[in-house]
Amino acid sequence: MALEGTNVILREQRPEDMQFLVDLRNDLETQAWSKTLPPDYTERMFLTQFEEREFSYDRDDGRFLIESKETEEKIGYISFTGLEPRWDVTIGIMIAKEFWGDGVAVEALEVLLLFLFEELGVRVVRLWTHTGNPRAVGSAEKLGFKLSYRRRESIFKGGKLYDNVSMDFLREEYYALYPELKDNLPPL
Amino acid sequence: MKINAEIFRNENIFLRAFEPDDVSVLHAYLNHPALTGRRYIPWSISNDLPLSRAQAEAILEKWAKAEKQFHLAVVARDMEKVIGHANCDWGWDPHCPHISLVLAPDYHRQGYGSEALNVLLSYLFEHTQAHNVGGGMNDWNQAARAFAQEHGFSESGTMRRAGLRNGEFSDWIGVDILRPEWQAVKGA
Repeated sequence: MALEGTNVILREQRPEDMQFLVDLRNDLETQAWSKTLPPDYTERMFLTQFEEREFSYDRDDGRFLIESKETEEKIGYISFTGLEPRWDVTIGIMIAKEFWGDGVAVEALEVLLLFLFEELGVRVVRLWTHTGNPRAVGSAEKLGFKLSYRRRESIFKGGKLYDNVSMDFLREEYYALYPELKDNLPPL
Repeated sequence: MKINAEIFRNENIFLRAFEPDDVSVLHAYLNHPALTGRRYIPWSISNDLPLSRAQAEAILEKWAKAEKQFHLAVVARDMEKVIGHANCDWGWDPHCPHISLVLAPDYHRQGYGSEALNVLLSYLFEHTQAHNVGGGMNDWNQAARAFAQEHGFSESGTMRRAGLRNGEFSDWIGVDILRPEWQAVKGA
């Protein structure tokens, strides 16, 4: 079963999603990368990356398409990487521009956070962004992330220097925000 | 060769490439209890468990093969002995390389660290496009935090819950120095 929220689902990637992912990466506003990537990615590149993923029961990442439950429209992409089991993980997200401001990013992140804290039992979730992306910082703060690290003038994008920013969300902070959940992971 | 030697030399130390014969001294000092948790070695090798000679050899091999990084031996000129290692990684962006410096505990507080750090910073700011040179240490490593601040670095943030030590969570402190700041320190 896919991971479900009220309005969105996070599901596995499929070959027919590749052009959508190309479009997200080739738009400088949605590529969500702290160094500008050349907007020349192709469907073939993404298909190759998709096909080269290998089966494992010991995964340290997860990659999902964000889809509208009602219309099945493709909304964006969300992932976690660098999973250190029962410890920490880093997340990332890209949303197609036509869905900006709809609250879908926050909802998709809520769905992923529930999975990471309740199913994978991580103690910290981290993300990276930069000060030139206040939308990302604002969405993360709205969810409960706190700014943890700010490396000065280390990002150059759009002709400007920005600070590289890391944010983190601790397990106890997450459960404090969702009192209906009980944290049963043994404390350290 | 003469230019390289001058860049990487200071009054009492010089930095050179590691050679296979250095494995014994590397193996010995990495196992020093005082360096537990602050070895600055590849992520895949434990930062706190006892290390075998084979693991020390693996570290040298990984360092030798690493791309967009360098790992140099710190040599005390008077003894012609390896007393530590200096790392630099510019894989994310040469604009903001990340450095670390480790000395065998017997050689702490004798000025070798300052000389090695000055060589590293001079190289990065005078011979590469570095604008922000960063580093980091565990919050409990007060000596390293003070050392960084004494050499012009600012603390740029705290990544919470980076590790567990003596039954308590520890944080990771990021530090950085900008080119104009380094120029001011150097000119002072």
